[in-house]
Amino acid sequence: MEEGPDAYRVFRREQGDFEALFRAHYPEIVRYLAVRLGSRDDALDLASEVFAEAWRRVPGLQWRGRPVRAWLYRVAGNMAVDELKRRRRLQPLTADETVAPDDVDTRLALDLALRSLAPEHQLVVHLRLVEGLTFDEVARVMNRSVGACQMLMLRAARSLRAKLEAEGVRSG
Amino acid sequence: MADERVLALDLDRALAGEEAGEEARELAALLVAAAEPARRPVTDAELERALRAARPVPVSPRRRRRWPALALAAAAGTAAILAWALRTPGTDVQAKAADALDATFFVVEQVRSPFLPTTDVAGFVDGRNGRAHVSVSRAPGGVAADTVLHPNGSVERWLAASNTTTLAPSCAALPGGCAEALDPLDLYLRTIEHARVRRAGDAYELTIRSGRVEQVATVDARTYLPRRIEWRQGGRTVSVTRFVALERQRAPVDPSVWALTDHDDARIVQLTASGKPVQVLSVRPASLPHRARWLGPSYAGNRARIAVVRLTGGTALRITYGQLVVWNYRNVVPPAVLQLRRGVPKVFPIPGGIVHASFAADGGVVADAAFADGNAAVVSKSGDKIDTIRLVQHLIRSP
Repeated sequence: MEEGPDAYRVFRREQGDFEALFRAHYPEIVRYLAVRLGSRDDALDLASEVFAEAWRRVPGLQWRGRPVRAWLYRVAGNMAVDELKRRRRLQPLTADETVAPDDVDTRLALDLALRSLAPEHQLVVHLRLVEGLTFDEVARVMNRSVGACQMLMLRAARSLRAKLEAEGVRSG
Repeated sequence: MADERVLALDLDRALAGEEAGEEARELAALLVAAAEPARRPVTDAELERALRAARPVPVSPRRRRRWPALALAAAAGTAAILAWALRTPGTDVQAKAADALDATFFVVEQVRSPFLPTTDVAGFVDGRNGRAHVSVSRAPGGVAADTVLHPNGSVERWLAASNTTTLAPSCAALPGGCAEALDPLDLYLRTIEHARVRRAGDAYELTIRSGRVEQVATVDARTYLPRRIEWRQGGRTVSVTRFVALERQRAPVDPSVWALTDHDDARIVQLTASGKPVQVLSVRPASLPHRARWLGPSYAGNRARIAVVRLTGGTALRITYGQLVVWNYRNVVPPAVLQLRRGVPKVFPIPGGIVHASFAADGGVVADAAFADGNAAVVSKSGDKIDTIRLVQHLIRSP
């Protein structure tokens, strides 16, 4: 991810070329939403809504030193929150969604623990470990300092470990 | 907290596969294991299907590319609103309006309002890259503000009331943004949800509603350029903008068009990206850093005195040789350099960079060079102009 004038040029290019923007970022938004929602099919649908919104809104964005990608993640995050609220209204959470059964394997426990992290913890893990961004790049997307993102990552890891231990799954 | 910070850095190293402590390695392994399934790729078929769904109206990339440039076009931005709103399925008005604005224009708008004095906005805008230079004037009183927007998003704005020129890396750093240039456009782009388009004689009339605010715009049906825009709120006319002139420039305009007009004795203020004024926070003697640009250990019999100047938003290196000062800086211009920049600078290409030379009324000269890896400026309070410019080319890198 570029800085300074290069970042501005990328911003303008992505702002003006929807297809390029879509091809560059749709997969990562799907991956992000898949963890947030716990369903890849739902993530595919919701990511399409994110980009339908992008189609209408991105051309009007003002340059504020942050990439279009940051806007996409913000919108995706907000839509995920709305979707999760909607699901809670429609169907109360079942035990399966909140608590890993005793005999669940570590993989499922990890998935559930990751999904139950705070949204900002999920985002930092996603950007750094799933998308492979550097912390400089993560900081620009999240509009935080590099140090703050590193601390978020630490807290995400500790939270993950605590959740797994609460489920009786030992890490390490 | 310090321990946490150390562990966070250790975790960063562990995630990068470098040597780290036991807890960091354990946490890193956990994170990597948790994140691993989330890397599942999106197939080409999924992507193509989603692309078709997310893009309701197929528009050629050529046509779409024009929109972002319009988003920054200051006075002609209003016209961009029209073109945006005209993007209606089944019509080619949008494309024609976009084509109509894809050039450099000389613009004069007259804004009338029952609540405010009549305002004129005049200047040049380039719909292709967002560059603009517009002045806002009110009668009586003359020019109230003069604003230059650069293609990289940075802005220079002079305000008559305070005779102050403000430099900022983006409009977001300015109090109130670039209200005269951008905010009306941005507001409407953000709030447009519905636009009705109808043919009205030799024009198209668009109605854009957002809450209680309604914008009725008239676009010439032959040229696809805007003629008039009326804003209404609660049924009352708030303002009417009339395009007195909107002249497409057939030939490339003179580069000086895009430079801020020289305003005598204007105070210059530089803002950081967060809007804070750039000030000198401290000056401390230092040794010469690696790869700094300087004139050597002495120049014209004066030994180099080196100091690090800490500024709001960055640092600069100052190397003083008697009346001559060499500055090395990156993202923040040292105030001592900035205050000597007056008028339209003369531009000289040099190997590896460009020099902007400005001549202050008191005889001072600044030759400010931009290189790929940073900036260097030679400031002379009483030196020869040509010599000062030449000195920039004689700067050498420290070992």
